[in-house]
Amino acid sequence: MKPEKLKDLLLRSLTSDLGSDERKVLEKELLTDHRFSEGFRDRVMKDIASGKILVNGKREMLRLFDSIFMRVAIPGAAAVIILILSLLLNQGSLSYDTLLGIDNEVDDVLISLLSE
Amino acid sequence: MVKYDYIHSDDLELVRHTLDGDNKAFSEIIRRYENMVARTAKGMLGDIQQAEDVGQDTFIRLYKSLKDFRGDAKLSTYIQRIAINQSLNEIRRKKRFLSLFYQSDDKKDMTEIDLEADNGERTKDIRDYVNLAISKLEPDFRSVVILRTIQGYSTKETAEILEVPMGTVLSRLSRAKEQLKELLKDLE
Repeated sequence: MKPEKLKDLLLRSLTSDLGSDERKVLEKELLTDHRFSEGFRDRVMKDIASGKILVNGKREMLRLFDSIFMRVAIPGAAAVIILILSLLLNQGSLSYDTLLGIDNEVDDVLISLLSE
Repeated sequence: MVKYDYIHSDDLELVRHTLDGDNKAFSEIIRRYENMVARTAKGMLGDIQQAEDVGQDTFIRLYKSLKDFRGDAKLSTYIQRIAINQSLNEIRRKKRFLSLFYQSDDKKDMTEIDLEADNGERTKDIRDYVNLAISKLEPDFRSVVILRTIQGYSTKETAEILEVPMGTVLSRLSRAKEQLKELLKDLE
């Protein structure tokens, strides 16, 4: 279907009643998959039978916790690594040269190389 | 013993049987309205796991509130109302909590979809583009668009489902149309 035709159908559907053929076309063009995954009904019935409906709020909390955790875990881990590095650097247990993989003698070697 | 014919029973009978403790009757209600709820939830939230969770919550909430269903409205209207409210709650919850941590997908730019691409997936790209435009509408506008466009309800039925006056639905539809026109201006 041409994009302008789809746009026209969509906009018209908001303020006037489309015929059944036009509606079918619009549904076909707009909907990717209008079904839930396999076994949806069984899962709902299982929840009902097992009494999970009483702790419905708990499931929402767990879902929310999962979403937040995924987004906090990586920046959190990065922050901990930076904190450890900065503590080690401040205490002198770790030097910038060690971090960069160069030792003190490199300066002398460089100077002698450049002066030759 | 005569076997009860669930498939040919009307909705009210199924409700009565469910209230009498017959869970098979409720299973038949789910079978009848599962796709309707999927269309609403996926239309409101996108094709994501949360849409399925909202679907589950919708039927669980329906099960819990069946005793309050008086039969004044059709059962489908009652279910649709729960599905819309659950979807709106999910959108609000997502916005409230997750916006603290990251920029949500709602901010996805429409220019990311290449409408000029001639890669054999143009139909899909256009569909994604239009669906993305719908998802950019305010949730209250999105709900009237889904009910009218995807579910095919009349303005009166939409008002009944959302429990708002007809004038409110008409005004939301008109504003949604203006916003969609602007969002889809590049679609030619």
